Amino acid sequence: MGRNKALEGKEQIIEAAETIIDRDGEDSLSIRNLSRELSVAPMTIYNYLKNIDDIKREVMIKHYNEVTRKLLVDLSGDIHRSYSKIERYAMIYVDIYHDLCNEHPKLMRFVLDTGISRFANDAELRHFIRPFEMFYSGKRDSETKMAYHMCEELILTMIRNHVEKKDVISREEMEYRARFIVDRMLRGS
Amino acid sequence: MKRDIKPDSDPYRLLLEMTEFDSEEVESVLNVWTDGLRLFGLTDAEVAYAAEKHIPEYWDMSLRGVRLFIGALFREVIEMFRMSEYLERGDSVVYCNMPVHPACVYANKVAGGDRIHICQPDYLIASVLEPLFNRSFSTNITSVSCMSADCMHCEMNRYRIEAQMSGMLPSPSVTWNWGLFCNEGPKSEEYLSLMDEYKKWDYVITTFPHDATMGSAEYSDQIRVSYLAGRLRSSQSELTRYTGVTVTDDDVKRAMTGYERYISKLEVLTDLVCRSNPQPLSCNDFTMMCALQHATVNGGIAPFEEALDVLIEEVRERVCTGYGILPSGSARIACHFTPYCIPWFEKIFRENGIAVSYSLFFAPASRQIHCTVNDDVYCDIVRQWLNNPSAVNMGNEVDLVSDILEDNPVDGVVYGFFSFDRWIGGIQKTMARMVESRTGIAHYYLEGDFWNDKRFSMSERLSRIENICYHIKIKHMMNESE
Repeated sequence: MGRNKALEGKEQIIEAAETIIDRDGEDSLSIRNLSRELSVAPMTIYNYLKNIDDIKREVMIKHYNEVTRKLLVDLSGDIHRSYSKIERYAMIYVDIYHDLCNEHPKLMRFVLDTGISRFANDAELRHFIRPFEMFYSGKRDSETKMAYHMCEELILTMIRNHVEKKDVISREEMEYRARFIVDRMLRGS
Repeated sequence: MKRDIKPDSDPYRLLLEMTEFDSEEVESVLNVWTDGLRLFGLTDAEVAYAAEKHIPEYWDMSLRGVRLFIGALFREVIEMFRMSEYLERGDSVVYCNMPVHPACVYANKVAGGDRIHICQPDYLIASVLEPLFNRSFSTNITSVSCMSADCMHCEMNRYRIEAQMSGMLPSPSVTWNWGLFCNEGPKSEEYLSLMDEYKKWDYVITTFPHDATMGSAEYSDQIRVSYLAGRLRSSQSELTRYTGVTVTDDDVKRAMTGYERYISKLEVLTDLVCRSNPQPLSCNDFTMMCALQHATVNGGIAPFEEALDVLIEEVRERVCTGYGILPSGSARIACHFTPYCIPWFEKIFRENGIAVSYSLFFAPASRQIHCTVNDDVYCDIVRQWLNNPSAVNMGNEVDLVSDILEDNPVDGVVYGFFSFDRWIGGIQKTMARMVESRTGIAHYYLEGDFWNDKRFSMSERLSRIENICYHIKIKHMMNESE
């Protein structure tokens, strides 16, 4: 098995963890399975990361690195330009997640379920987990904040229901619903 | 030590020449400089790399003010290398640790002149040699003290102790150990005193109880101010017993005058950096100058003041011509540590279109100047000290930091670098939330021990930093289109 092989860095572990979750589901993520995936001894993994929770955290950080980069690129482009700023943001956000849910359903189930519930208040992740946080974090009006919060909850629930196959919808339908939520919740905010 | 490097390819000479040493001074210090750097484990190749690549990459060497400042820092490093010489000729050598109020310690030099020499080894090793030579002493200093690299000791204390115990630095006549932020410094000194074979010096410890009510403005609490002033005065008396140099209030006032002049000029530079659009100077250059608010120097503040004067004029010129490190309107962040200690940090943000503007670790000078009352010089020193956000209770720190952010608005703040720190580490996450709630400015967190590059390297932190950059840029974009 090549147990004495060295790793180039913790990025290899994170990629392997992502692969395992995406292929076999979150429950298959263990130090033993990772060591098999990487052909290293289990103790080698502990040289880079503390425990499974730490590994999951790194997977979340990597995920949001990809999502925020894609969000920035798409917002800088021309798609959905005819809509208001916040509607456009919501539509691009759900577009990204719709594609990710179709391409990596098991990984997205982990991110949207365990990932968010476990790391929503994590110091390094909290700003990225909440899609509308950047709009309400500076606001003092509690009703406006509540409106944005509810937008987040509804949009994340919609995406979660899609990936868990409770309510599978097309990309266009997801965009429409996101716009609807934003329009109804934030009207007058 | 025999020098076997040809003059025209001598990187040690090159470093001095490029930092505004004149030829006469170069010749007079070259041997001490070369031998000292080699004693600290630097190779010729590393020095050449610093001179030719590393320093020009991360510090703006086109600015004469920056060159002069780095040159002044190199002079302090040379002074550190000379401490053995001073001890041999019978002078007193006083070490101190980071952070100190510079005027309080420098008053000894004002009083004693050439009979006494002061050195802050942890500052010079961790905040000068390490960043400027791209050298991690954390993993390269051989542990003789059992304070190994992975045992989460404060690296600044560890460097000082390892350097003394291994003979890289001579033992001083006395160490003035300032434990006003945290007690790791005094604990380290106590630890050493138990190892009899290494205890070749005396020490004076100044501590301060952190028992203020949460939210109380400590600098305006006259009882606390008087108490700490008394502790400083008492510590100075004890220091005098070891050095033989009596320090009067007038000596302290003269040291204060120099310090206040320096921080007034720093305030001018702060205004230019923070209020100009585009930002004319990088955080690496700027915060290197701010660090002297916590560090004292043997050669006096004058060379640093001269560098600051030159730099202010150069930055004013940049403001007039519209020169910026990034285009006008670029997003800005502040951070809670000393960015120039890990110079790649500023570079990654800049390459992602975000300017690191300033460090919250250093109180703005105007707060320090305007809080003095001129009743008792030690009380004024204490009032200045207690206007430092990191010196006070968390609630007071939130107020001070929020005021700084409201005066110098940014698009985001990055915390987390002191997560290992005995004093600052425990409160950072709560601090970040409280200041964010009060100011409405997003506070991001980047966890890590920034002294230890095994755990905190560019590649290791890149994803996190990119996340912050993308998030800030998206926010900036959303706000711009309003």
